[in-house]
Amino acid sequence: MLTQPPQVNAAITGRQLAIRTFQLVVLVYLVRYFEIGSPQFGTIMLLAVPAFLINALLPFRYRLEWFLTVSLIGIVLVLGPVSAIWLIAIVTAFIAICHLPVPLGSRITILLAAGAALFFFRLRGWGVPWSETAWPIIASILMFRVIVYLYDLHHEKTRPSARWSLSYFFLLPNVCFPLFPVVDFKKFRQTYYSEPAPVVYGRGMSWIFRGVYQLILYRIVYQFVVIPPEEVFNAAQLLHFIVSSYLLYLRVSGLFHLIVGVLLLFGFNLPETHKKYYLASSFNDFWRRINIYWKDFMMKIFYYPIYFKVKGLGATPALIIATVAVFFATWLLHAYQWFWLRGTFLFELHDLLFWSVLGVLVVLNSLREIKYGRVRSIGRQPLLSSGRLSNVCRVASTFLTISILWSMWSSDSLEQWLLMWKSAGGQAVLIVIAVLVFYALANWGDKRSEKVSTKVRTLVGRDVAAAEPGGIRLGSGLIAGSLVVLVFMSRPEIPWVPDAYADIARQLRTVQLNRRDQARMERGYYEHLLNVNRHSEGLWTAVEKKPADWIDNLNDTEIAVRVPRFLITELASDKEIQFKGAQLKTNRWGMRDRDYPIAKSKDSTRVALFGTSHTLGSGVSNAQVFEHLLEQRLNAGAAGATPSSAYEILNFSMVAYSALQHLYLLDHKVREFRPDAIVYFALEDDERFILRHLSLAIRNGIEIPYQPVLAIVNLLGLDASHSDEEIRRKLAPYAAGIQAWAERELAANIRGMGATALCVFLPKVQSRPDQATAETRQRIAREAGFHTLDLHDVYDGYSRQELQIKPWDDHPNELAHSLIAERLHQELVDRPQLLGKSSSRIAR
Amino acid sequence: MGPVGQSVKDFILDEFLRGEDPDELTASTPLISSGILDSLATLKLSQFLEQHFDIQMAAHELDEEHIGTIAAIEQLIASKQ
Repeated sequence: MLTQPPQVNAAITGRQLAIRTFQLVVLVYLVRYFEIGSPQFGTIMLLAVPAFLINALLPFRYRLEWFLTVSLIGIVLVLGPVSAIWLIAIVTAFIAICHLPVPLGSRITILLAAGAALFFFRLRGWGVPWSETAWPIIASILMFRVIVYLYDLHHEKTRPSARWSLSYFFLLPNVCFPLFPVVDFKKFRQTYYSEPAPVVYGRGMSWIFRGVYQLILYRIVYQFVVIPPEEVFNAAQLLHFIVSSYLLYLRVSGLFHLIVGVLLLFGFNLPETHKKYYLASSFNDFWRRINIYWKDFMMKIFYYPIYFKVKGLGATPALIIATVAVFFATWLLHAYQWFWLRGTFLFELHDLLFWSVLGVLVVLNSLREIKYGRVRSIGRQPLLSSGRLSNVCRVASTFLTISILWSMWSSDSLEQWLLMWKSAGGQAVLIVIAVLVFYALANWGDKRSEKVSTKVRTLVGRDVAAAEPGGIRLGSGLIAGSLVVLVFMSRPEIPWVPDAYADIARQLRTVQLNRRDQARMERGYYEHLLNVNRHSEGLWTAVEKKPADWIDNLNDTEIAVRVPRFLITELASDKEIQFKGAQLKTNRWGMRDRDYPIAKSKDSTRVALFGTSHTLGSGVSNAQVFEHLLEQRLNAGAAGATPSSAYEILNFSMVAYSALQHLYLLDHKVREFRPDAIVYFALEDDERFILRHLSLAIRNGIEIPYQPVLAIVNLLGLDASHSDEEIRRKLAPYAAGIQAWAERELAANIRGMGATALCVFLPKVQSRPDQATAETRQRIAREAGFHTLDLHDVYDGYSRQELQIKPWDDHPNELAHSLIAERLHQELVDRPQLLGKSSSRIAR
Repeated sequence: MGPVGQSVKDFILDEFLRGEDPDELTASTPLISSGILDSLATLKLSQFLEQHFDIQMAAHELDEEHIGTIAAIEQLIASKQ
């Protein structure tokens, strides 16, 4: 409701503007320091400072055009001129179709045809003149806004001017955020400077700050709180998993606060999003609080129209039908949105189940509200009252129920989620009991206070003004808060901050993959399982630029052959392919290496390497693999021998090989090459290769040749009828034991053939284990009978980005391989005994 | 506030703000953005307006512009009678 005309509200004093500008500068610093939102958002925020200042100083009549101009500049800055021009042209064409002087049905048909054309270009990956990164932005602008726009156009008495239409479609922050709130066209216009500018700007600043803090909190939850589902074995862990899954939604709420906050800086006084949704006191309350832009869109386009269509059936049936339709449409439109943003379809059982269960809960809640009513209170309630206490119980039961649902929704599969509950056993019932107890207490409290429905405090009249930020107090508080955050999080600049905080700060400054997503990404390299979860910012950021023709898995290429033996896969002999953008060539023995005779000459030292994709060199060419570089360096420095034959390093590595496969390889292939030393490269979490390998063997009915391992499999009753998830979960508690056994056998067999057994601990590019972790891993190897060499710090001084082959693939690149080769050479020079009898010839 | 507005106010106070101070609810009090009218309350109000004033409501009218305040509701009813 406009209290004053917008042009009057738009006024701001010099002092107020100076304060707001200062706040904005602090905000921009925070956003850029923590790389909040996306790197592009940092650019947009830099643009926003002068744009905000100019907007506030411009006469009112030019402000909307100025906003449009800034938005278009933002698009060009982020996407580049070519993609920006195409984007603007496409969106403008869609707007023009909405205005065609033909009946509504014809306009809808033309829009659908135009949408279908884009759909096929997106689906087929047909060449388009704009960049891949522009697709999600084009989609984000059009997919819902066209619907709202056409609806309002149809029902409005007056046509909007071009400046309003264009401003609505080209909303400044949209170019950075494909996931964007469905802004309502009518509200967009009606709320323009609907309150005094200082109040609107202050609210915008406050929401951006809130967004920043929520996104930092999200990173804390993502990095330090979330646990992988494989680690859930009791009720406490299950509760931990469930609650932390729901807390990951801080990312979306944080982004929406940023987006809406930026729009408020230009006078669009849009409603607050995600208002204390973790404190929702019922499922309806949750639906009303969480993403109100979506809720309002659903109400406008589906709920009210459907209700009016079927209200002849009676109020209650009409309400049920309309609510069910809304949740069905929400599910369908999420899949539709997923297609436009990611280019793939999202039709999963747990997705459908999530929206169905939530829909049923909201229907039941609505029926309850119809029966008992929902009491609103204009004034404040006393801090302690029976009504308030029952509300606390109601909030707790709602929070837990939605957390449970959310954990299902964000799981990789329904099966994974159900197995997690099964693993928690009877204790899992405690969580359900807790929900029921909270619910019962809430009802009991309601009856005691003779109020059977939810209490909400509404903000009306002067309360609105009192509760909203408009003054200097808010700005000062936010700035002080921000400075405290910076003090605790910027160790390099402020030396008195403890090291523990500094480590956390380093991890929070940028988006990094947590353990769960690292495992997801790594499984993607060899198992077609890269499920880019909606709730994972890190994984999304990592893979969003991956080309459609990128092959993650070497087993999808002709160079990897499947064998009906315990090895399961091995490299084909004498093949050459391009893999992850680099040449990969094998010799006649099926090694990624130059050719060697099977017989070793008497004056050479022959070393066999055992490892996985890191040692194989996924993503670098044969000549860049550290094995090749090390061999060259050793031979270049070898004295008294033919340089080319003094050292022969034979690379027997294969992607995702487990210690059990290396053991098998040693006995069935490597032995005949008579190596003097075998170097086994260990990673921090090799046990996952054991799980993967045994799961494959069991599901494919491949005989397990090692009795102790077979005994465990039989004890657990695992066979080909079990799923991958089931096998992994059941075997997980035994994985470390199997790994240790396999390494003991490996070391003993190596020594038994007269060779030296060396275990080298290698870090991953994306996760650098500390010295203690490296030491633990080496202790296990030493106990198994290996000599050990620790390279955990080989990548120190380099960022993940400098060492990974591509942003979406964390295999070591050419630089990383050269670092390993250099370090290994140095270590072997310093400790020649590591390679056994001939190593005295190693020269500097 | 005219008689139409008063009827609407009485309905809102009786249905959704029982026990609250009637003076707090004025012709310009925001009904939707303040949370007084959620989706269920909106449908109830719409039903009341149709029956009490013998008018036909349309789905697109259930928004801030048309039912955002008692004053807006008065205007809407006047335009339909």
